[in-house]
Amino acid sequence: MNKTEYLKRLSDELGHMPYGDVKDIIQSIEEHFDEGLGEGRSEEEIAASLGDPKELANEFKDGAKFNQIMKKRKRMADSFKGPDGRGRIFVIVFNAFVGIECWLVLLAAVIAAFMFLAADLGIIGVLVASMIMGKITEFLVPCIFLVLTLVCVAVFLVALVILGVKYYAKGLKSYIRWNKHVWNYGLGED
Amino acid sequence: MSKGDIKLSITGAVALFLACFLGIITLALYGIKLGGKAVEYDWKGAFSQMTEQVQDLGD
Repeated sequence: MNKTEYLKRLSDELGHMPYGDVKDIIQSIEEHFDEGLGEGRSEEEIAASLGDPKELANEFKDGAKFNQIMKKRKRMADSFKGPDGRGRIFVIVFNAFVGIECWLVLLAAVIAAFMFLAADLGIIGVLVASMIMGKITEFLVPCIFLVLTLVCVAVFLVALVILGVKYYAKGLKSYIRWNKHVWNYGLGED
Repeated sequence: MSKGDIKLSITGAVALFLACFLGIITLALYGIKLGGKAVEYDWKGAFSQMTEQVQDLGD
């Protein structure tokens, strides 16, 4: 992959970040390429040393700065002496007793919110239909307020489900990345 | 957290607040309505009818 291809893929991956941040990141990567080219390295070599654009983009999305990422990579490359057995045992034990259970509980909470939303919409439908058909006459005013309350609950649940699903997926991705990191490099490194 | 997420969180919080507010009003309205029905209900008649039934059972 040459410089242009690398920068294009990186900017595609950074798509959801603010424009100013993306511009700064691309500028710092371009400077890194220029420095490398000045030292006599090829564009392909520099791109390979930067690693997968997607992984690099994820590190930027986590709030890291380019210098921090490069320092961390250098430190890891210097200290890497092959896969760490203790890290792998930790990943297996931690996931068996804590990790997977926690994620399942959170998933159950998101599904429960979705089910509550479905039930809420169902009740609203039944109440509105009953009112239209004239089956509710005596308790009409409290029923109207009940429907309004349930509509507000539905709006709250929609927001909860959307944010829940989004941040569940985001958190799970970061958690998997952290697991991969511990699996490969052990617990000693940040 | 993006701007869209913040807007969605605020919408959710406002909806939750309104749901609580309207929920209390709904409960109060049901309370008033049921209270009114309870006051109108012929408790004396119902109790005397029950007493008669118990007496009939005793005889």
